[in-house]
Amino acid sequence: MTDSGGKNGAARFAERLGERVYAMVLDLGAIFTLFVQVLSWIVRPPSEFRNIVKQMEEVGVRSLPVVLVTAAFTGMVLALQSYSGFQRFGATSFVGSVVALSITRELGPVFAGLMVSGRVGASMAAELGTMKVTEQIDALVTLATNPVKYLVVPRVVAATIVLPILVVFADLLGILGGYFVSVYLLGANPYVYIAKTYQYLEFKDIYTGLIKASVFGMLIALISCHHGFVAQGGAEGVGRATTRAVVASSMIVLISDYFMTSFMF
Amino acid sequence: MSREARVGIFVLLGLIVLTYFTFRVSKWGLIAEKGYRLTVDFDTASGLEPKSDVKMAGVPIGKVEEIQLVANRARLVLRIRPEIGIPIDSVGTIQTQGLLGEKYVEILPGKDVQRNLPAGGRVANTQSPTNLDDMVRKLSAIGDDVKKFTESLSDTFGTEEGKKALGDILRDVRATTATLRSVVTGNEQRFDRILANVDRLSADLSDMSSTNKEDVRVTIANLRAFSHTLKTETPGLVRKLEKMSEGMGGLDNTLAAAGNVMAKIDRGEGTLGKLVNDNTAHTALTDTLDGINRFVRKTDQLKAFIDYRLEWQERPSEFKHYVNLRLQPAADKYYSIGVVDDPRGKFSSSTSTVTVNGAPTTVTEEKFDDKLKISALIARRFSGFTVKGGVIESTGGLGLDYELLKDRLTIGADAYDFTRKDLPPHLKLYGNYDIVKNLFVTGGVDDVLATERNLRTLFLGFGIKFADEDIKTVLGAVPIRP
Amino acid sequence: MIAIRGLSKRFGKNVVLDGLDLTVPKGKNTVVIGGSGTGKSVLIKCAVGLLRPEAGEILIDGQDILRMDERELVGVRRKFGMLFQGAALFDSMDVGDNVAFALRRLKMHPERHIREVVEEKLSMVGLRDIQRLMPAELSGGMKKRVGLARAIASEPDILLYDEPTTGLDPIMADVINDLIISLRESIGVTSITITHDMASAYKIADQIAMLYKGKIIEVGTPEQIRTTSNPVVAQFVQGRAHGPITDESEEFVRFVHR
Repeated sequence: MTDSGGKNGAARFAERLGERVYAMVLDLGAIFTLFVQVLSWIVRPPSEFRNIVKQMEEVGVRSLPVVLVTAAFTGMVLALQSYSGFQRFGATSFVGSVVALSITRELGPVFAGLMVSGRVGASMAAELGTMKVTEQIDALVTLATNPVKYLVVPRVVAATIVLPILVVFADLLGILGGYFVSVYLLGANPYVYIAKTYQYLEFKDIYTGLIKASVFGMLIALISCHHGFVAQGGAEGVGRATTRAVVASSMIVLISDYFMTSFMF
Repeated sequence: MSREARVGIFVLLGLIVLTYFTFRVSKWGLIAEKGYRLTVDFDTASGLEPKSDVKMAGVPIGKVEEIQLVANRARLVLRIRPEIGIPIDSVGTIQTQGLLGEKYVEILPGKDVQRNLPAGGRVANTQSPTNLDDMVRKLSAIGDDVKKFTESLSDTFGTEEGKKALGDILRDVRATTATLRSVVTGNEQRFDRILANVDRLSADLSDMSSTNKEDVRVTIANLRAFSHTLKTETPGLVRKLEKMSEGMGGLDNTLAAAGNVMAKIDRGEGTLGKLVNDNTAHTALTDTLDGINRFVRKTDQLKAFIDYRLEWQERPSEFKHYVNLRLQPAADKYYSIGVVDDPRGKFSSSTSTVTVNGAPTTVTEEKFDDKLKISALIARRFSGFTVKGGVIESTGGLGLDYELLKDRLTIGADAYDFTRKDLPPHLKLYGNYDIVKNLFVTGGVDDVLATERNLRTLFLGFGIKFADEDIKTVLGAVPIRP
Repeated sequence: MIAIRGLSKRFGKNVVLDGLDLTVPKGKNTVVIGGSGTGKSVLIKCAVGLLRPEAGEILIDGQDILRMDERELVGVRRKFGMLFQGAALFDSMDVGDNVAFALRRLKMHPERHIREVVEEKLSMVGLRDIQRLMPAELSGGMKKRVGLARAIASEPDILLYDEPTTGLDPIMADVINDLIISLRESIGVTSITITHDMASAYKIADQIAMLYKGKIIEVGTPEQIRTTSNPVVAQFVQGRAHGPITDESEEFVRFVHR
């Protein structure tokens, strides 16, 4: 693997870094182009209603168990941790507030986003990647069907709609998990806990979380579809695309979360 | 189940949960606003947030909806539950709850329950929250520490050793008072004469105006005459007093026993000893006293005295105990509160008809019962005189003290219980003499004016008193004032 | 019918098509032959609009599809049917839905007729009663035939065959050859077939074109190609290991590793 040009390590490194950055810029451009295409195809007939429903089932209904379990345990561990912390100040009554605010504002959307990245992002990238390398996407084109409209639009729309719904469930389960641990394991007063849960919780906390989740859903679907679309080189290429899709969509969940949080709060 | 059905149920359930949240969350929020608004202005709304509680008598009645700055003051917009009426003269305060200092608005309801504040009205009266919560928190901490301390004390004196030591002390005190009684017996006539002089003196005192220097001079002249009389009239008494000092051997024993206790404390034996010598206790006490200090610094140069005195009274032969706490914020005034265990505290008489030698005779039985009484006095000093007023032995009363011999000798009179049935007011004349700094003897005539019912009695006694410096010494050389 | 003029397509530095000219007569089957990696697939993907060439024109019934926007292209693509090398059946759908895909998308038949139409198309490729099977349950030859049925379902004017016989046993390959011929004769479609299977090419072609180094270097009837004087074409059609193609092995290798 030594370069015949005799470049030194630093130059090679710089070159590789440049290639990586260039590839990232290309990806970014491609994803944005895909986004614009999705927007332009979304409104044109025929409507992809059945496809959207199918993807909603895939992204929403089938992700529900993993999201619920994650959210419940997140709420539980949050209660446990904040309890042991707040005990030192004698402020254990605030555990409910902390759990509710953390879950609705931050952890519900982010964990649901990460779970969906892992589960749905991977399956989208793998499915589209396989279709790509077996020419099924080309086949779609020859059958007078735009692949973006047929494949990407339903996934993006479904993920955008369904992720907030998943987060609503995650919020509920997270709060219930925190309640369960606080009341049954740590002996908190259930009425105080519930009162504190809702005292500082505003509707704004919930809907900003849902907006975040919507954006996460859209980004996850776009990125995963993009990586599926550009897959090449058979099964190995599909595997690579899947990995890239999961990594990229998980990262974008966390990165976009920061920016949205700083804009919205 | 079809795919559409599954997705439909999923979406529907999501919407239901979201709707639930919406209603729970916006109970006092944007969507379903209930109740009416009031405003209240404070100098500072520090620590308050929108959605903080509004309480009346500790019961939540609404929330703080908005906090605005109006003319450099904080204006709170409160939303009060519709069924709650706030009297128009209610007072708004900012209170603290919990150790984290969560603030809330407490409405102290006014008296005018007929008229309530209308919607949009303003709670006009407010109490500034300046340092109040700070102080309350500190005081409660102090209270806890004091409780710990007294528990330790009771532990100490609850031990066999402590009981024995106390028993020794009491035995010695009894011996001492027996000696005192023997001194007094046989001198009634002289005492009567003294009392006559005191009568004259009190008459003079009552004429006296504290602002009239001339009168004061006359009074002092009278007093001089009085002391002269004392000197001439009581050589026998002086002799007896000498004899009494021989009897003081018993007192020595007392002091020796007390000395034993103190030595034990010093060596760290017993709970009190541990308390005094233990570093943690010491630190806790230091903290406590620091807290007290900070509290006390405000009231300038406060001094505190605690005294206990025992009075033996002749008729009926009983012991009367006093415990007093005197707080002296300045040299010319003090506040005193105390508890008195009075053997003649409760008077009851019952009339019964008894047949004696065949003839019915009405016999009236008079009985005194022990009773705890409270004293609380405010006193003010003008040169050598101190005028006192307030509660004396659970009734309204006034008093006058005159201090002689560099304040070591105090003579004075207390008048109280002005509304006694069939009896003149209770007048007590007394003299206190400080033998040493912490030990004094006392004597005088109680209930001077009650001539008929044999209530008038001589009394003698002694007391111990500690200034706060002494308390410091006992508690381990803690500086009360920095 | 289809006229390709000066078509150029490159991938990076790699020139695949270099000013290619080809005319495909209506109702005839034109077979494009060439070595692996010489750009045969690129040629038909350009023709159907899957790839955009850098230069040249592709006239379909006189219209240049390279100057069309995406929406117009969708209209033009309705004239095409394509059989992919690996059949490219949609894994997530059963055979019936695969065949009916274009019918449903284009709403060519009411839903209640679709099953009959699909059965008819399947019978044209010699299959029956397999509508409920999933593609994974089919053999390679059956997949190709289902792919063919899907390609002809929307009744296209032009059929493109990408290596129709590759990966099939000789008997199945000949079945496909017969199908291609019978479709041309029964529906009269214009078709382009790309293959390197000379037996198949001779059997189904009305006209054979040899693609070499990005250009069509010879066009002729099967008989003319068999007896060509061009040494490059001769080496290819006779399947010789030594000749002008392999002498320029460096370039050959370059194409193979594209």
